[in-house]
Amino acid sequence: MNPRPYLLAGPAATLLIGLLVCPLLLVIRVSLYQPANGRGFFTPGTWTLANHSALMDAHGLGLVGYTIAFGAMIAVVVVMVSFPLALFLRSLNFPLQRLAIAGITLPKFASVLVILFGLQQLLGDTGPVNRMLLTWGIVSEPLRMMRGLFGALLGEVFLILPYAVILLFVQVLEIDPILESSARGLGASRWQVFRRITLPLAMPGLVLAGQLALVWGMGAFLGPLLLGSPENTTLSVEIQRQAFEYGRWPRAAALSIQLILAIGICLGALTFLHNQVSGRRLGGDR
Amino acid sequence: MTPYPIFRTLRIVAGFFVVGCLVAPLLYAVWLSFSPDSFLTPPERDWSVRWYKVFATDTRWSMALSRSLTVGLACAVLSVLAGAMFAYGMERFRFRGKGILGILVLLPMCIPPAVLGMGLLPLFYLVGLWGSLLGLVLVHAMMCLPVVYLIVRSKLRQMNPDLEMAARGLGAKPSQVTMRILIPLWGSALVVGAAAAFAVSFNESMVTLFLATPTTETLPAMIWPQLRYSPSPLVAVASVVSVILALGVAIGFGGIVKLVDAKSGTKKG
Amino acid sequence: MIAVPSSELVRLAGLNFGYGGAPLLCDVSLDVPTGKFLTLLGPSGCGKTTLLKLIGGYLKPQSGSILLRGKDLTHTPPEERGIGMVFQNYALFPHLSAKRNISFSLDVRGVAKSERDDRVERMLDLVGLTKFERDRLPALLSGGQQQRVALARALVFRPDLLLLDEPLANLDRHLRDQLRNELRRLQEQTGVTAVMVTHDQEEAMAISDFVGVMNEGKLLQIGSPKEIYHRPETPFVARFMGPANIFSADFPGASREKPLMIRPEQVVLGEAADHCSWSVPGTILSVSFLGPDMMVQVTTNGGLSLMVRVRSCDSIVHGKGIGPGQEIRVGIPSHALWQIPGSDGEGIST
Repeated sequence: MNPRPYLLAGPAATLLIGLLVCPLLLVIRVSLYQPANGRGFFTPGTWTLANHSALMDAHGLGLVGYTIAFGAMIAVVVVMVSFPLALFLRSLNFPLQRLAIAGITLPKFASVLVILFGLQQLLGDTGPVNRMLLTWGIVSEPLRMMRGLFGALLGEVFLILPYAVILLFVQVLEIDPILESSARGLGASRWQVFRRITLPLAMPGLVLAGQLALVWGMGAFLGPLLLGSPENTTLSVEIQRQAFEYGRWPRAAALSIQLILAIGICLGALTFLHNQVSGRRLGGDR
Repeated sequence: MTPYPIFRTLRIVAGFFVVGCLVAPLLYAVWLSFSPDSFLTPPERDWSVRWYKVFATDTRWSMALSRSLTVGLACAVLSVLAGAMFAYGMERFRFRGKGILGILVLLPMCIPPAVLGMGLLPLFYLVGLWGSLLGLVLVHAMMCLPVVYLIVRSKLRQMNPDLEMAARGLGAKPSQVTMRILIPLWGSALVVGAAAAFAVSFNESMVTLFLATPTTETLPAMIWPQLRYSPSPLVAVASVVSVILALGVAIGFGGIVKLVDAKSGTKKG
Repeated sequence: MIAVPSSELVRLAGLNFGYGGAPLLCDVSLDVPTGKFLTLLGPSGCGKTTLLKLIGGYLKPQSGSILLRGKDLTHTPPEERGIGMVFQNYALFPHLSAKRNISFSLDVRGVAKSERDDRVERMLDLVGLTKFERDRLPALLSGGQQQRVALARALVFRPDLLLLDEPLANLDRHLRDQLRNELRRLQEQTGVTAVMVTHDQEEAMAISDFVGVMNEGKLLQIGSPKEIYHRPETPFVARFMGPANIFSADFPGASREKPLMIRPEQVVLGEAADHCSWSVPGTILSVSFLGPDMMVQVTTNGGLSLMVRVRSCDSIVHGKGIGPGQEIRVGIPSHALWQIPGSDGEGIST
């Protein structure tokens, strides 16, 4: 048994097991502790399922539902915006293409906080966009864009979009333009070429982008926290709130488990749906 | 594709408008950083570097910045070393557990940061890493592994595996193979990976916030309360400084890569 | 095996190799006398490249041993085996010039600069690389030049054994013929023992002292090119070495269980057939013009179908001419008939 590959993979594997697997296991364990009732974060040495069952009420399920809906909306918006953008990038000639890529990836050199801060100021009640709308008389009072679902969605979309665009860009680059020109030569209209050639060939990238956006959207934390409304939040925000504002670690841990399960189920459902649809396609078109 | 040049121009304009929207928040933050007073109104004629001076002279901010830099650099080095060794083991060997490791290494990207933070809190308490920069470096290195792995693995796959075998057959010991063949050919990808890891670590805010203590106050930890409760142009300044630093490191690393490639390209016998 | 003292050869004994359930090499044993050229011949996937990698030390056998001049190398790492190898894609180091590629083996051994430069220069002359090409990076060299660099690189440290993995496969036809002769010349000049792998039987026969035919991980036969070509031990070997007529028939001195073989060029057509020990009337089915030769498909009145190779300048071609449907006498000289002793599970065509 050659030890070399294990030695090589060792450091990274140690980091992953120690700082990823162990924390996850700990989350499961902490979720089974009884709450501390004022003395510390939890009561050591106890076991209970109460934290999990407490999440099964209307409020808890509503939270999960909101998170899933939020993630789904993010996925849809991200895919629908990033795909045309990726196609747009492909259509550009070299210098313009580089410029566009630079513009799209530049925000990723800034921290998440910077982008959200910029959005918060740009679209806030006293920000330039609202001021412009007011001066031009399009609205009579400032448009409430931040501090709500729209703000949270917009923030997360801004954060996730660059990844989706680059991912899809790489994918559509592999679509040989010869295929599209041949289809045109055979008499297909531009829309038909898109529907029958471009779209199916880009599908793996689209699915991957959708899955990533769904996972990241459901786990969204800073966007909803900073730009969303305090009443309607996602699970991640609630986890942070329970852990830091109330010091209820067991409850926060139970919420974490709930979030992971929700993500797993939704991802599985998405994959299943995709397989169904693509299976039907292969079986017989028309 | 389009029949009329006017449509093509319109499409380009529309596309760049969208790109512009994506950059707008960042540009607006930069603009705000030059605001002369403590209100968050962008300067129109009265640009001032007043807040930059405040940032530079406030020791708390400087310390936070230097901590972010230290953690970023340490994380870059650690994650590139671990990630490169990991990628090499995965690409060049067959062994049991390869499949699981392949999934495991990509997991940090998929786990919600809040869940990760929630698990690291008790872990750090237990292990005694609470409030230590080392703990932060280790966590960041773990979080950077997927990015580093994908970058260096892609370059490794392009490299002919026979090259290393040829070198060994010619009498080179494994250490000589690494120094004379592997590093020169793979090195540029390692540098890119390090730059990416630095950028990720330097800007990482979500998990960092979960683990923040006064002794591990990094830049995001200082920006956060300001952002949440009392935003001022100082936040904008901190943002600008961090962007410039991250960009600077990326450009610097990119320059090193170009230099190394140029040297090995025209290397004479 | 070959009766030569063990200090004078490369000996492989009972080598087995495979991943999981699928064996890639089954109990392979062979000897190569020092200074000789052995070619391993076989179709893709027969295990010949695997065998080469085992000899070089890049793979570990499950069982068996590898001896080089009496030394057991089975557990020695590749860098200590002193074996030179030329890879199919040359595997030249892209960031080093031709000269630096060649001097690599001397650099890692810490050879003194003056001696190193001297040996590299001599090797460059030996393989025929001009001054212009020496400082070039591999990407700027042609296929033939890269091949020469690969050879020089593998020989400069005076290895005991040279391994070549399909060295001529990536070159075009004309270059291949030219380079294979140069390969043989180099081997003879340096006196190094060589083991080459190829799927081209013509190449194998042209430059080797010994040829070993492999299929599905087994070494089927080893011997001189003439032996293998005229005395194949299995129908597979017979067919792999070139077109062959293999059939079952009643012949004096031959048993009916084992198939008979005759090469197309050995079958005689026309009046000369009557001088053969066995001649029968037959009909021509088809004729193909190949340039210097013609391939004629004939069937005897007894129902035997044979491929016959005839020189285009042969008198029977120009005399009556030959064409489909024509009647012609077919002769088989008894000395040309060979009974294949072994079998490989294939059906025999009658």
